[in-house]
Amino acid sequence: MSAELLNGNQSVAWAVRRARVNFISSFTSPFTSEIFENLANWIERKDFEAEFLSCSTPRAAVSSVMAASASGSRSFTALSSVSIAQCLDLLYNISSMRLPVIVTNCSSSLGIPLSFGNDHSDFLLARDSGWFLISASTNQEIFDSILMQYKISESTYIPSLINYDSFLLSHTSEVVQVPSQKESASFLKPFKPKYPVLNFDRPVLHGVASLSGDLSFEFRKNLHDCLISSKKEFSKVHKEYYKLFGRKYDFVEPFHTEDSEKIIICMGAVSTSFKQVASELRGKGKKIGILRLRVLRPFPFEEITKELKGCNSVVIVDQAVSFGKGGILSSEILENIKDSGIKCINVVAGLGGKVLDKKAIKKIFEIEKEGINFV
Amino acid sequence: MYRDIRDLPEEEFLEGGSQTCPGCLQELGLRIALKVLGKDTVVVNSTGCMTHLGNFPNSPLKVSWIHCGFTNPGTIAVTLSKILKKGNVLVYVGDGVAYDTGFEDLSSAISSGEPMIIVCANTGNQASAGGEPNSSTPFLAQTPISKKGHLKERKNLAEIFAAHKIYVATASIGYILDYANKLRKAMFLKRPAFIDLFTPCPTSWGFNPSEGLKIARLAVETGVWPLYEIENNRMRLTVIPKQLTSVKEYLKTQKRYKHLTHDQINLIQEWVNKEWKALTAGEYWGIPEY
Repeated sequence: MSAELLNGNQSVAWAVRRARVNFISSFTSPFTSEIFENLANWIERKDFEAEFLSCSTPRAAVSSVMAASASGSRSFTALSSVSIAQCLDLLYNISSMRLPVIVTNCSSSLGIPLSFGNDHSDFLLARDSGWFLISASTNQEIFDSILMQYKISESTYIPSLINYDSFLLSHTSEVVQVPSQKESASFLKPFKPKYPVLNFDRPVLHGVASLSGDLSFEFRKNLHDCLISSKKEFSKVHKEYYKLFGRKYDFVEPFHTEDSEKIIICMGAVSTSFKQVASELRGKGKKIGILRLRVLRPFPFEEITKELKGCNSVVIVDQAVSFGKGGILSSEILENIKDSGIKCINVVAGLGGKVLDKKAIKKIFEIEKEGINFV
Repeated sequence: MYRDIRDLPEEEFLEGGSQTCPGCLQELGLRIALKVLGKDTVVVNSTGCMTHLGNFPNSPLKVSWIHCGFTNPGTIAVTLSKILKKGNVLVYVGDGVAYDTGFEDLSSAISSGEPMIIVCANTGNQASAGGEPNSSTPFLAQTPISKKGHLKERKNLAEIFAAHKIYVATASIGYILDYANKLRKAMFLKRPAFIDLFTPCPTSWGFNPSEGLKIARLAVETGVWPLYEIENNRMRLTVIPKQLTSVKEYLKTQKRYKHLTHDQINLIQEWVNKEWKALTAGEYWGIPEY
């Protein structure tokens, strides 16, 4: 294990190298180009061995990892904002083809006026696509999530989408503990697929049609059941990772939720600023806690309910909005708090990269109006 | 080189039980391709008529097959080709994908130089959607959205892909031997190759399913679909009829040309004659093909 000063994109590149990925396809955007520059240079210098395909469109990059995974390679690509929106149908295809692909998403806003700022609109587009959805909050967590998700995905045959915030993480450097190749190899074994498409002695069909609606229904129900039952696999891998590398991960990350009257629920890199402001306010006697969602699918229903026990009100901070309805996270979590008497405040903040600084966060903490608020 | 139809391998990799329309010639095109390419072949498909061949839980296919969406056959083929140690990658798509939706993708896949054989089973319309026109639809052919006939020129995809400096050929399912030889040539090139295969569609063109092969032969004999190959920028006609049959004979076999007036038929005849004259004179680039 060695400590390196890495930004989010470099962290992704190191994780891909340590996971010994066999196939990388790239479509570069200003958000993610550094990942592919690093990987391509390593491959050129023969520090790291993998096939590298430079693609002309994001759809090509995603199709390419799909094909590589179907032929039995451990594969990786990275997307961001518009590129994930363009690939939405392919994401559905990959999850229903049960291919354990890992894709990272550098989340930034969608729509006009064009903004390079960070929000979660693009990540939450993929909410219902049948992928594991992970939202990282630090560069270390990006690295660890990629290693862990390869293990989880390859045992459950469900793809993972790992989200990290543009600029807040992608272009900000932090110290990241990078395990040696030997250490990571002891955790992540090579991928042996069940039905590779390139085994000519045992032909298989990938991506078939089914004209009978009944059978299609069964496939979709099966995918849902598998996502729900994969929670056990998550817990197992989290435990194993903690044992080997000493870093603990769970579906949610609570911060002083045990005695808090007010709990702020959020996701992504802003949670670190929220924690800092909450500690200051706790020093002044205010009982405020933070609950960060790390895994959005499979949805950690019980875990959230457990953490919210005993509080009077929750503030759900959304960095994405469903226009005409409200925050997307808030509608996800409403089911947890209905009939519990907990007051629910929905805050939509930071859309299009609006800065969430100390002042804005303090303002969010003070909101008492139920329903949707824009900060 | 196959000199006789009986020289083709006997082994079948596409057998009965498919859910395509009666008299489907796209399927015959795939059957012949798999005969020539053999067992070590992976078929890359894009959404279209042929996607019904992989219809869970049944399939007439005996080779590996992959399909994922309708814009990406080229990239999938490049990826498999990069990983593949030995064997062939056959991209078998319809004209909607090759001419329009997957055009950019096929173009960049060809530029990668990875070995793959692209066969476009050309019905001249969006056959699986109901026969709507696309850029492969011939001039004046009737479509569901235009009873007066399609008023745009057909895009010459073979010429566009020939500009990518690869092996390009046109083929007709009526001339199976010619088609099989072109496939065989493409197989040994170990570079990208493109074959535009003319496959009449009984359902959307409106003819009796038993007459498909006859129409496919007529298209060549009348000069509507000339058979040629382009290698190293040189065009060579592979089938040269002694004398061109009148296009009227070809047009009257299909319902989609029923509305044509005498003048319109003459216009098509003139166009075809002009094109054929240029082709036999060895000219290729820039000829507006019917």
